[in-house]
Amino acid sequence: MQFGRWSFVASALAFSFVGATGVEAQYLAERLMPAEPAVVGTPQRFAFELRGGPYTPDAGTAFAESFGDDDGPLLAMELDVLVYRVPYVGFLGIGTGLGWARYTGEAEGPGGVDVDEETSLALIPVPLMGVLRIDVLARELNVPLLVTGKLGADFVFWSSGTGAVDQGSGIGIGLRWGVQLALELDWFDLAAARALDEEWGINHSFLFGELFGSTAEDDFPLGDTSWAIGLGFIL
Amino acid sequence: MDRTLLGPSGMTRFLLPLGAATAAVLLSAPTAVQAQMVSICPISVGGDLDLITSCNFTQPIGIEDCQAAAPIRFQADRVPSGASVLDFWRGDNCSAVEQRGPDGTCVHLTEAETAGTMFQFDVPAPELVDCETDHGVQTPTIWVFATDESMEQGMVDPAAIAQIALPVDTRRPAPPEDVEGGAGDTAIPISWDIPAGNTDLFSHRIYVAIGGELVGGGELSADAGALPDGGAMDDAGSADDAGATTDAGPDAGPDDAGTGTDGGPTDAGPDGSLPSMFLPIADDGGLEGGTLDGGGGLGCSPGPLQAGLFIEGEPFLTVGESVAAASLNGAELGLDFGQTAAIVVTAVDEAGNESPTSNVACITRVQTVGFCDRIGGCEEDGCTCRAAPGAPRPGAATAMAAGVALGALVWFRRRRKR
Repeated sequence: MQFGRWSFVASALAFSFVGATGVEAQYLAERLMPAEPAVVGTPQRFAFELRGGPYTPDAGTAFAESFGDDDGPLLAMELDVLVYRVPYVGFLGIGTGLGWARYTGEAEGPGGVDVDEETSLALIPVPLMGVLRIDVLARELNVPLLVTGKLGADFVFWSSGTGAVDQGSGIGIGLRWGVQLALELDWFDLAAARALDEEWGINHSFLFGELFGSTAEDDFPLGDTSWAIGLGFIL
Repeated sequence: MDRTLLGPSGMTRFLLPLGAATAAVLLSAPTAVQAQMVSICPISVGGDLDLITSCNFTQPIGIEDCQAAAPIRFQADRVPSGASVLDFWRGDNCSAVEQRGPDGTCVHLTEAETAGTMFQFDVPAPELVDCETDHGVQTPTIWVFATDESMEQGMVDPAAIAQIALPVDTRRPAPPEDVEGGAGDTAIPISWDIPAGNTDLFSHRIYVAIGGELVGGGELSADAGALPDGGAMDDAGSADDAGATTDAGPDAGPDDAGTGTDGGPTDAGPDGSLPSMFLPIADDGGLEGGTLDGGGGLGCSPGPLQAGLFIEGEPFLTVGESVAAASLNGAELGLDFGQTAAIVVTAVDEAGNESPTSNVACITRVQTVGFCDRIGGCEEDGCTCRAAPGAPRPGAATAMAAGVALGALVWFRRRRKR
């Protein structure tokens, strides 16, 4: 710091005494005041998300009559492997996830009368997607926003029963897509973000909202178009 | 001669270390009393080894043990050779002579003959615990003196005294309240309230009656039959006479229960600590000369079930002490669709005492419609959530195409990197 301060004085004097142009002064300043070394974080290899939001399979009147307005929620996590960094764009990766949602309602008796027995439907979506995480705004323009696109396949394991009887189960398959907008949390406290990276390898953390959809279907539709919010990490 | 040794200073130097060594040996070695202290250890009740752990009772003696005069087996060890009797007393500090006197607080219970220094022997539970008085959990101290005289009134060597903490509980818990039943197929719900005073419960039992018969068999009685006819223990005769159901009912007469006033159903009232609950049961399971409780508004035929009865039989279902709800499978019960069944619930405490039955509630098996039934694919053995066969799965084709495209993209990028 001492050296830098004197270097600044020296360059200012040099500028004023020799009448140097701005370029020459800048050249002298850079020679006398070396720039601070750039901060290099740990490698970014993974993205991990915890998420939750409403989810109502498009199973038609059967779902509505059985479960009313029950919309889950669908709780899920996702892990992306960031395989390639597209310069000045972001990361391309492959992701998979695991979710869970359960719906319950009262079964009906003869004549449509409600009986004290429960009917249920459980879903476990397992998507497999390609992911493009665009972080150019955060990395190049200091705008702490991330945009992510996801596209792939959705495998939804389901099971249903009434009372003590398991009546059916299976796997629905379909297309899965998602568009995500995230707010990077590094922006709030850079020092803490840097410490998190050094100690835990968490390069960035973010809050996100995502619009997603699934066309998964078995013998009845299991997909939905919905939204989710959550917390994510780049590791 | 060594003057040094025989002189005063020499003797001191010789005796002092010897005395110190002797004192050390005496203090470190177990005393004669400690080494020979008699041990009277309970090992089973009525043959059940699980009720006792490390010579300690883990479960109180209950009404059934009293009723059956369950033998408590003891292991006696280090019994002094001069002892011919193990004398049992109950009370506080019965080792004090005055407590065993006419003005003392200790009560003489029974005695058992010795059979050497180490042996096992049985004592019927009613001879050691108060089976007459209706009380919750109590843990009186039983004192056992290994002496040569029954009804020992004198001093007893501390090494010949053993103490046993013997928990006993002769109070039945209160029956569950507000039992309710519902309708369903394979998970018919039932629920009840646990009375606030039932703090030492072990389980709840659910009994079901269909068409006038208890599922799983069993007998019902309005007579507790659990406690001897009233009066003092001496009046009830020997342990064999007291407590059995038949003795507490019509068979109980003067010979069985001591004096005439102690025998028979009416005597279980004024002479005893508990009121008589005898009500004659008719052959059809109803009350003789009376009307069935639970009628008028009950949506099922209660059959033999009624509030306040005592059941001797296997419950259909047993749940935990803090559980206040359960579900019954109508198919497992053998109910047809539209058929009803009557249920009652009892509470059982840690001592195994079972409460009288709760109020009667009804359950009904009905055919239910759930999510899968609405989807379709229903057959005789149930619904499978399957729509009509051959239905196309457009989502699968799209997903496969997306997967192929993704794989191609990754392969193309890796080729370009090479």
